[in-house]
Amino acid sequence: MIGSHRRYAVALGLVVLLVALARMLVPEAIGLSDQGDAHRLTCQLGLEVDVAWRDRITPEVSSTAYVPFQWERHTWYGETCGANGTGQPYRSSQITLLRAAQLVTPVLGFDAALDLRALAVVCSVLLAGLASLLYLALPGRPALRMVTVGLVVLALLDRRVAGVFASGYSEPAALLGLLAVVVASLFVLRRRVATLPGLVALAGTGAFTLTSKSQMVGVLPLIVLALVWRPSRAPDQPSWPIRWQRTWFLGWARARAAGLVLSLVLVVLTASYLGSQPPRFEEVNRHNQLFHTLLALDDQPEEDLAWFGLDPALAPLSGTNITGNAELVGSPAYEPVADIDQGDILRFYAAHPGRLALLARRGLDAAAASDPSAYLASYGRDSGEPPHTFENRIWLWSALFEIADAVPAVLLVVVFGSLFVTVQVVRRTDDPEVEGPALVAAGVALSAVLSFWVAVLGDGTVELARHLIIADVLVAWCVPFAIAARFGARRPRPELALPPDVATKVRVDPAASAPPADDPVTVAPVTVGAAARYNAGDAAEPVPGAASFDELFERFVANDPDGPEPGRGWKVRRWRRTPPDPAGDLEAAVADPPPRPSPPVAADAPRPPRPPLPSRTPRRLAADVAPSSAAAEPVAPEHDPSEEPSATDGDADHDWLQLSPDDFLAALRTRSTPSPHPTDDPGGPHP
Amino acid sequence: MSGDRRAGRGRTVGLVVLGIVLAVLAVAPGLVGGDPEPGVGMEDQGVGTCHDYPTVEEYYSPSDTRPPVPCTEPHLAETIAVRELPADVASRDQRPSLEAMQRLGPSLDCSYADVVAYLGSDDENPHWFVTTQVRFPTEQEWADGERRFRCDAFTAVTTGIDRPIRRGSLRDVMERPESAAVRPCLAGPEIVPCSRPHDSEVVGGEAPPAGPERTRFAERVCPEAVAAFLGDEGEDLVAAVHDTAGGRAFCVATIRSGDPLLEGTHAVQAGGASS
Repeated sequence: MIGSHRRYAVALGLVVLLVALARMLVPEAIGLSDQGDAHRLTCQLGLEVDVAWRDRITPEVSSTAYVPFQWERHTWYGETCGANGTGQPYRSSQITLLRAAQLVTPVLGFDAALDLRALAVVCSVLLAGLASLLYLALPGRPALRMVTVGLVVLALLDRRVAGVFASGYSEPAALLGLLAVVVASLFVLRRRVATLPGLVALAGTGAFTLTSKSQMVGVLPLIVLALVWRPSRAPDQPSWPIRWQRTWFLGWARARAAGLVLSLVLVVLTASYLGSQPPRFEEVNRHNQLFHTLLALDDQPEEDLAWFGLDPALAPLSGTNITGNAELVGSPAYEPVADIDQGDILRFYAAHPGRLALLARRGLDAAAASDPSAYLASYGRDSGEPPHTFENRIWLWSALFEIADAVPAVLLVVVFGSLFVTVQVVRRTDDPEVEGPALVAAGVALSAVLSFWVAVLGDGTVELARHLIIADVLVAWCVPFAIAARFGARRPRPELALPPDVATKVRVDPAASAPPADDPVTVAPVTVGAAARYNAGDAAEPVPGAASFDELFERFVANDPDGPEPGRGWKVRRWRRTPPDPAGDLEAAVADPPPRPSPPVAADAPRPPRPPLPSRTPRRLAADVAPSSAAAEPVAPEHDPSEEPSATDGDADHDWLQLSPDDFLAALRTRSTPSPHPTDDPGGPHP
Repeated sequence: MSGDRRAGRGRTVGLVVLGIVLAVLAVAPGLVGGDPEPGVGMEDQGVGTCHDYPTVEEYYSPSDTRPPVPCTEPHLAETIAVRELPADVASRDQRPSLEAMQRLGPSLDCSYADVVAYLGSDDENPHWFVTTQVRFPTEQEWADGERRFRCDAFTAVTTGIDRPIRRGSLRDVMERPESAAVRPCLAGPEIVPCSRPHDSEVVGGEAPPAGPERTRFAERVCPEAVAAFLGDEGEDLVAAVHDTAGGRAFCVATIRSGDPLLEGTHAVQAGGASS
């Protein structure tokens, strides 16, 4: 199965690569024409657009009417390379993608210093690689994973979005970076204990995304949350000072030291990046937010200007952009506008909630716009297409936005519906295999909301539909990731993993009992007393800090179930909820944690239905440990969690916990099969 | 077992290092970027220097530090004056905003009169197709104390699909045949540079509106102006008042009916008759 997953991932990546390349380059290349923003990135590479001087200022043949694919070398001096006519440098990780495209341009045979078709190839390769990784990181059966990956990729290749992958804008870095963040988050959050390489990957992809454009600052809180959500080391390391183990916060922080350090690096990097943004952007955004948006949302510009302490003579600027009335914008009356900051804008909206609601409505309409870049173009001048022609090759998600164009509330239903579904999944499970994807899906939905508000409050209503492209992609992603989180939980259970010391006692090769190496499964209950970062890669070797079984057992019994360590508390709760009959349901106690306890139910009350997640599937314990005796064992009765003792049933817990190690092992050896639990595994017990 | 443990740790460390290196490689180029060349400052771009702007971005930039080119090579602009900014502007610590500079430009001392003086044109030998543009110090220059602005003259006629380039200096150009590029001629009702095929060459000022003044202008003023303009070389041309496409009328030295079109200038000031 593992090998087939890898093969599927490679095959899927190849399919995505071919589809993306065909979509971008055949029969003729498509991209997104330039409304002037490309220069601030390409000039940093010493490039100028290869369009004749006069054509650039002729609307019918300008770089806005046709995609300027070819760029030639040029040396820029002074203030000619910067943001919006200034020399203020505009930084973006998109430069990295453009440099890569510049490198492969001659390799691909294009006759230019940079051909944006080479950027399309670079982006297609990256997209294919990320699609493969996403397949491996997702839960569920291959078909579900492929559908999920397909929907995610199609959102990026949709006609609303795909053109940016052959353009000079910074969106490709933001979109591919977001996808990389999602993949890295899945790898981190699907383990009970985050690995350091996983955290570094998440922080690295986060850094790439956050430095792509300032609008991406909205996802910083979510990336930080993902970095510190899981502990990165076992909380009960013997080397820790006792006082640290007894102080909840220090224990929490210590267990997440790597995530916290990386979060700090990301926060500092993001703050530094935002601080390096061109001051001209601040001027433009302030004007757009104040005059083009806020004043235009109502018809009382003089009063609004007075609220900000500005000269009412500026009222004619209502609804204009900063270049719309240079006479007034350049006048002394405008100079105090420089003192208005984002806080003032937010205070105004707080004092005028109706205006904020109106802004949200305008934003929603813009997000639902069926053609956010309609004034641009998809084709090069050699294509023979009329100017400003937009392509229509892939429109799956555009169909959703066509509906949303008529009923914008559809977008709210998609985002908050997926958020509701994923939160329900998170609430019903502690299994990181199930919880992780749900957390990521919830993060995608929240990212959509945050990106929306950052765009709306940052850029105002100027070109808002185009600025909301990233939020639109995140809205589209909500659907496949919610599906993956909801239905990916119904996966075949992996083989039972035993702690090395237990496996040794029962004479089972620890490596053989380990979960597959490329399936990031962490079977938490077997980490009893041992380091919690027990997974496929670690299974064949002793976990640092692991003690002998007797030591573990004693430590386990001695631990306070509600102790300060979250990880330990979770583990203890699992064991405490286990029925007292070890022979009856030992398997579930070891590797199949029951759902969280139901609220107290009266004796005569109807029994609440069992939560559907996570699904219960048979364990392979008996087959692995004692195949000959397993077949002769009678089928155990259905395990009903409602009959389990609650977390407060201390006596029953202690009966179970006071089993001797030998009794424990004996119970393991005599475990029956098949499992009494219902299964989703069509193949039954594994060979 | 210890070897396996070491291998596992080595693998982890390797992955971490690889991740960090990849992250730095992915992020650093974007943060570092590529900065433009500093170029040549205001102090080295005095009167008579010529400037080429191969791109639209350079043409519309408020400042210009691109190294000057020899005036014999293709260029767009030529500096005709370098002057101090007004005191109220120069006293600011920070350079005015783009919009403030845009508003300030037309009010600065960089006008038609400067062009007239630099080109050597007058009422009888008017110049066309030349306008002025102001270049401010860069923000860095401003921070270093530079408070002068550059007054540039540039040719405002595009040629083909390329930028409106010209060759040669504009200083006293009216006294040379190359002035044909900045002298107004008529090709039918359209005003074109005299360097292009034309049937008439504009002489003197604009004709007054229709009426007695117009009649007097056509019968006396214009023929005298044309005679002075052509000198002894202009016997093939005749004086006339022509209406242009813009609804204006000018005194011109025009060809006789059936004669071939002209190129260049016949102004005696510029050295005599052209073809």
